[in-house]
Amino acid sequence: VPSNKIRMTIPTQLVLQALLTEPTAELYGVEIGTAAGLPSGTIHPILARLEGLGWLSSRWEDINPRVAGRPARRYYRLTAEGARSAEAALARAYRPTPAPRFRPLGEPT
Amino acid sequence: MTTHRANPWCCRAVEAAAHVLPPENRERYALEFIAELYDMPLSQQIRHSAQLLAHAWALRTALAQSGHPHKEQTMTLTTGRPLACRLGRHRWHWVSNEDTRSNAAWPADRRRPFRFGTPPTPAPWAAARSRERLVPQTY
Repeated sequence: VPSNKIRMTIPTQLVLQALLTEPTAELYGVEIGTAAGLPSGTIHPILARLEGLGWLSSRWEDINPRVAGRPARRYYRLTAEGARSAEAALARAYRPTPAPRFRPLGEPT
Repeated sequence: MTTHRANPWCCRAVEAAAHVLPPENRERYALEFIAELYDMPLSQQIRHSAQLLAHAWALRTALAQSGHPHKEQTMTLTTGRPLACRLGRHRWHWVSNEDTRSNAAWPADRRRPFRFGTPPTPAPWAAARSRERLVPQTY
């Protein structure tokens, strides 16, 4: 999928905005969902698309599961190219609604 | 230490969600989904696993459309040697490099198919077998 063909849906924009608040931070799926204000199940398809485009990279958490008492999580972060592309895509996606033009009644056109 | 363990039923639900995904992504997402259940209260685990289950098909579509790069082999535990090794048709060896330690099998009448220190490329049948022989981890 070419990067200019990504569908910038509202959830995608929210995820990118959440990731761009701290572009170097690594977050796992639930944290991204909380930051974006989206239900957790909707996050992973978006992350998969962005990862497929190369905008995100992911890695397994480096912990000892026995010591931590839980399995390693998968952490996501924006790549440098991804951060630039995301900012450009968000800027393109943001189209302010034109202000309504009212005319007083009876005024000649 | 974690405060909440993953509920077994929620684990099964997210494993079912991962089962819908393409085979090369299935294991990674199953592990990822289960890891996310930890440190959640039970009510949130139920909600989270239900949402993952509901959106599994969307994830499958996203993975199929994006040509996802993750076709990684996750390290797995096996309970024993494969049948071909037990019958003497293959040899079962532990191989390791500085990062990983894994096991591999190759026909007994052939030499090691890789140089010392280089991890072997798992044969398709070995990869499929290792997926089937997953042992559930307990933490």
